[in-house]
Parts: sequence; C-alpha cells; structure tokens
Amino acid sequence: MRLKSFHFVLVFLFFCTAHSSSFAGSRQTMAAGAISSHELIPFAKKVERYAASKGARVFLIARLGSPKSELPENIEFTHVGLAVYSEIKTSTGEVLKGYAIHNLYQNANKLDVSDLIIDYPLDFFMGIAELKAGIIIPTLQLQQKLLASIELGVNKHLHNTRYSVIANPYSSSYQNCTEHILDIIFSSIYGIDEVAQIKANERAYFKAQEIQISPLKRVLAPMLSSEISISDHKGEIKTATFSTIAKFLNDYALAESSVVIDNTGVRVLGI
Amino acid sequence: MNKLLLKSSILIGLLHVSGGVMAEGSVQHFGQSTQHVAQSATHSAKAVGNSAVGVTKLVSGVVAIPFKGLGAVGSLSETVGDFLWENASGNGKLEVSEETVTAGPAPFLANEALVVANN
Repeated sequence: MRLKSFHFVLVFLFFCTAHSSSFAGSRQTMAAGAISSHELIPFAKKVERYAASKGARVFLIARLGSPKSELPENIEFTHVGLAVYSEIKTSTGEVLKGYAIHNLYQNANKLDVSDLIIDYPLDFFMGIAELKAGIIIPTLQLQQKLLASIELGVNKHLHNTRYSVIANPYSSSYQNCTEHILDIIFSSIYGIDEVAQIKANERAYFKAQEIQISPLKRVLAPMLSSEISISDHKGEIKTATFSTIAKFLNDYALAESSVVIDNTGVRVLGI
Repeated sequence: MNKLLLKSSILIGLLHVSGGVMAEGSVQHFGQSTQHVAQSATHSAKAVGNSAVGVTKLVSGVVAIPFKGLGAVGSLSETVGDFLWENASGNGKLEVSEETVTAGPAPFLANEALVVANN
C-alpha cells in the first residue's frame, strides 16, 4: 500500500512539473560565459555604435542571459537597462564619449535584494548566452524626460530593493530590473514620482507578460529560491518584459524604433 | 518508507524548481568575468603584437555624466544648455570612443593600457 502511495506521489509530481519545462533555467549555466571576450568586445561596441548612429541619447538595452530554450515562452530577453549617452571619465583621466548603462541588478550575495549600478556595454553583455541585444530608442521627447529623471535621481527614488525575478509590475511589493525601467518610464511620461499613481497608470495602460507556472512550482519556487516571490500575484502570474515594454511604447507612439542586433545584423523587434 | 517518500518528493521538487524562474534574473556579471576578459585580451595582445591597426583599448570607467549638449559629430558640446538635441533618428549621429570602457575591477590596467585584437 505504501509503495503504491509512493508511486502515486512520483507520478503526480512528474505530471505537475513536466508541462512547464520552460522553467528549467539557472543563472549558473548563464554565468559560465560560453561566449569569448574576443566576440563580446566587438559586439558591445557594435551595439554602442548602432545606437550612436541613430542619435540615441537614451535608449533601453536588453540582453539574453540564458539559453532561449530554458526560458518561459515569449521571453526574448532576461535583463533590461537604460543606456545614457555620457561623458565617461576613465581611471587614467581621459574623458570618453559613449553609453553608460543604468541598471537594477540583483545583489550577488542576497538574491532577493537589488542594487542600482552603472556599468558599460561590455560589462552589460558579460556572460550572455547569445550575441543578441534588444534596443528600444524612445522618441526624442521621451528621451529628454528619461534623462531628466535620471538627473533628478528619480530612478533612485523609485528603486525598491526587494527583488523578485517575476515581480508583479502592478504591485509595489517587489521590483525586478524590467519593472524598474517601466516605473522610470511612467514617472517620466507623466512627470510624477508617487509610486501609487505610477502603479495605477501602469495598470491602466501597460499590459504585462503572463508567465505560465505549474501549480506545484508556484508553491515550491518561493520556498526553494529567495529570488522568487509569488505573494504579490493574485491569479495569473504576470511580469514586465522587454517585449511588453516595447509594445507599450509602440502602441502609444513613444518609440522611435525597436530592434534586435545579433550576428546576422539588425532586425525589427517582433512585438 | 515515509522518509524515502519525503526525500524523493523534495528531490523532484528541487530538480524542477531550482534556479531562477526567469533564468538569470538581473545578476551583475562583470565582477566575475573581468579577469577572464583580461586574460583573453592578454592572449590577443601577444598574438597581434603592438599593431595599431584594428585594436581596441580597454579602459576602466570611473564616472559617467549624461551628455546633454548637441554632441553630434563635429559640433560644439555642452555650450548650449539643456536638451538641444538633434533628431532622435538619423540626423544626429553621435561620437563614440574607440576605447571599450569597463566598470569592473581591472587589475590588468594597473601597469599599462591593454591593447587587444578587435575582430
């Protein structure tokens, strides 16, 4: 009898988890860095030069940190930052022109906590799974507003250090990198910095990406990984992604262009 | 049997749930990878010698200030106040340095600038 129960549990667990194999990713495989620096350095410069050729002062930049096969459906990129055309002072005293990227990153030691960190294209693409970058160039007016927000420290004001990889963008309980960028965008568009009003506007106008999670994983994931929280979700699990932000900006005529750069060249982002 | 049952359930749960739901999340990479870049770059430098053709210099960025002037190639910069920008697409091509800037710890920069092959 007990043996039968044991087999029943095994079969139950198998069926509960097998239909959502898209959740098989892990940061460790991504961090192994399959792409050499010989490819990364010119790729990072290629992305930078593309944005500069378009006159982008501020743009959204995205990377793919895990193999696509390990990601949930409809997830094209895994991290998004805000690239700002800047004068960069180096350790040798030179002043260079290029892009600095404003990021919300998970804390290396506490994965349920995030920090705001500025880095540069090569740093941004370090450890990627594919030589692939997402770029959204906002309209000039929105670029100006985004830059003003950065200069006023709105990004710091809107930073919620409580991190969840599938943070609900309609809630202020947790925040991931993409929601952080989304919050800055909404703050900039409306000229507001009150989180409750920003969330109300996002609920009204932004359509998040639904993430399919099996019932078992929904229960077990938060118990086994500190970077995953489900408590901010009621019903379907939805989060902000690069593609959903691109669609939002495109729908409201706030984007000049949305493209993907990879080894084959530059193509329009499918949204 | 109960212990076996419990262990098996936990094991299966771990196998299926471990790792990030969205895979990588937003982990910062450069801290653990900069040294790797340095090592690769060193090999490249040895391979190409000191050729000045097709090279990229890695430099460590200390601070970045948003650039608000006209900034288009050939124009004066930061003398015209805020947000006097060219069109966001096409007409306002911007200058980007040849150097590749990194933010991570860069011990290999301690002695001299490093020149690496640029594919």
